Amino acid sequence: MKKIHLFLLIFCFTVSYSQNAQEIINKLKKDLSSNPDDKKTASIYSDLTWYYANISVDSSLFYGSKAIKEAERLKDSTLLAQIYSDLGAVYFRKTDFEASKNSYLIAYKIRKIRNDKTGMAKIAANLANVYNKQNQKELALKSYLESVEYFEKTNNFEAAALTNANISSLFMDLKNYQKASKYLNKAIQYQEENNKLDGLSTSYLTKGNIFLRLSDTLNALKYYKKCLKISREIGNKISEVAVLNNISKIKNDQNKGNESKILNQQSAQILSKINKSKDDTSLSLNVVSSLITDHKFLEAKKILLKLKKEYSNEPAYFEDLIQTYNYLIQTSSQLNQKDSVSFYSNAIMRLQDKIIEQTVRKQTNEFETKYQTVKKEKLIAQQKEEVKYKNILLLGLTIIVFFIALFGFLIFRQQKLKNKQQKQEFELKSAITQIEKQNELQQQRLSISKDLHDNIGAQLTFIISSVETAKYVADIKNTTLESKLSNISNFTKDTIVELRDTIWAMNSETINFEDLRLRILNFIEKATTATTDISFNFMVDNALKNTHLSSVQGMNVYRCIQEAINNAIKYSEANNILVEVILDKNEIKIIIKDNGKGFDVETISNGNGLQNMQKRMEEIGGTFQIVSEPTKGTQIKLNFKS
Amino acid sequence: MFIIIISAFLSSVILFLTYKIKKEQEDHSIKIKFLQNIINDLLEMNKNQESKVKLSDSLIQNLYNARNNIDQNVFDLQKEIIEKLAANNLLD
Repeated sequence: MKKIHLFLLIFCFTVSYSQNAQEIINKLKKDLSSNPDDKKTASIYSDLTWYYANISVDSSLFYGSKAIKEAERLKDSTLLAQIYSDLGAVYFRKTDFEASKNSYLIAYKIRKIRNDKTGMAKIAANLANVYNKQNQKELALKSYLESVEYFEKTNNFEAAALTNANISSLFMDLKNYQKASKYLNKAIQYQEENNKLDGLSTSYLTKGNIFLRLSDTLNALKYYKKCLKISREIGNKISEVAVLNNISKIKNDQNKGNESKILNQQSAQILSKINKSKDDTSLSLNVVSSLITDHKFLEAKKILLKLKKEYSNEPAYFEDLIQTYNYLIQTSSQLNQKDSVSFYSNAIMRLQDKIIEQTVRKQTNEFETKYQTVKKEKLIAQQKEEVKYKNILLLGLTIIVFFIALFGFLIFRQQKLKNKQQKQEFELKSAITQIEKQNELQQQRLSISKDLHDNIGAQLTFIISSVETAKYVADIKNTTLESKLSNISNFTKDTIVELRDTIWAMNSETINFEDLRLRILNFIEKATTATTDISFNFMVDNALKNTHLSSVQGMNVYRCIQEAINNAIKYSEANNILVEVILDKNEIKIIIKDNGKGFDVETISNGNGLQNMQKRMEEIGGTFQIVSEPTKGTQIKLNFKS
Repeated sequence: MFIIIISAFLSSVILFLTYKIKKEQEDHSIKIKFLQNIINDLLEMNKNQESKVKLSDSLIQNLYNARNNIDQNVFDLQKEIIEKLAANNLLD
């Protein structure tokens, strides 16, 4: 009786189809023979799975497998979920709960991916029924609660109420009547508010049963009567029979045999109409009870022997069989059949032993299953741990290999860099050695040159001295001879001057403009001894005070200025000579200006002096320019980079 | 934990190596700069000496010319004297 809710739920889902199922199947098969497209074919297979469920489970499973193949081929997850859900129901009907559970779980997974809350709610409810059948109460409760949550989210409160009623039945099984009542009240509240009579009849029956278990017969009768009224209204014969049997039991316990008898008769009439033999058993025991009360022991024993035969091979009815044996002991005792009393007493003992044995076996199996499950879980955990350890090891190795590679690369790079640096350093040091060697050679060469110059200087001085002595001692009157001796003397003097100038330049590491000025002044002093009326100015730009020229630059510039001044003194008849040195954008400009008679630059060809000046300036990367006009003096411009 | 420690240690080693390489590069560039400066100074000195050698060479050329000139003048003078002595019959 307490599983009536479960039955009703499945009944609700399936009964509406059963009457016309065969007609629908025929129509579907007709549609299938007209070669529809793939999607339609898959849909027909799915429908055939569902409609065959009430007629032929095997056919249903056959079309189910075809439907799955088609749906998978079409990649239609909605249809696939529906087919697995239908198959779950088919397997449930076939009492293959494991297969049913697997099908529902696949359907649940697909619908969860699709976030189909309506579908998930239905599957969770069906899964809960499967778990309940498998006696996995905890999982069943979890699935029921999940189902209620989804039903409420999708506003399917009727289904939520039915599921709450199922939760109540579950708690009844667990003998937790308080919670059973709590969940049932939720269902009843909704059903009463919305006048859902079908559900209400079953809920009232369950509520009555709860009160009966709590020995509150008054409230139990109250709800049984409510249930009876509604069951009659809506024609729910199963519920009506159940409630009549339960009221009959109460009446019998209250020693109201006649009322109980009437109720039993009513129940029997209904059962005969709906042809439900199994529920007859409860009714028969009620009848036996009434007969014993009426001291009709022979009639009672007759029924009891019939019931004994029926219950003997049905483990589910062992409790009823014990009740039957008890009644048989009672009737045999009344009929003075001692052997029978003894036989049935033994039978009860054997049966109880059998029940205990079954219970022990069941519990042992459960324990074994639990042990195996724990063992498997442990094994899985161990494997997971191993995989985790291997992953960590692999990760660690990868990191270490990466670092070693990086380390190797850095060492290689460092070594390469070191080699390169050493090579570069060696090259530079080699260059330094080479330059130093070259410098040393040049130094030696210069040293030799200096010695040579000193010797030549001495020899030249000796020549002059000899010539002058010869002139003085010989007292030469011949002008030609005197002129030739003077030529030798003058030329030698010029050579000594040149020698001294060169030695001056070579002895100075650098030459600045002050040195140059003093040298020029010294030269002018000697050059102008004959013509004292020439004024001379030498002006140097302040920015050039710290500028130093190399020996070659200094010597060439000195020679050019010397030549220009010499020309001015000799040919220009100037009384003012100005030497001006200025810095103009990194370029040194030297202007030698006189106020002499000047000349026409176009008509006078360059003599040796001018050519030498040009050559010397080119030698130091500079330029030479002469600007002159008759009567306007002469300007010689020397430009070179500092 | 072990991997973290190893990773931290290896990372430190790599950082140290990177730092060392960088430091060596810096030291090397300082050293190279110093050597280049020496080379520049030496080249400058070399250039200076070269210019002096050039002056010396030029002077030698001038002295060579001067010697030729003086030789010619002395020869002319001797020739003149001999001619004069010959004209006055003083050679005997």
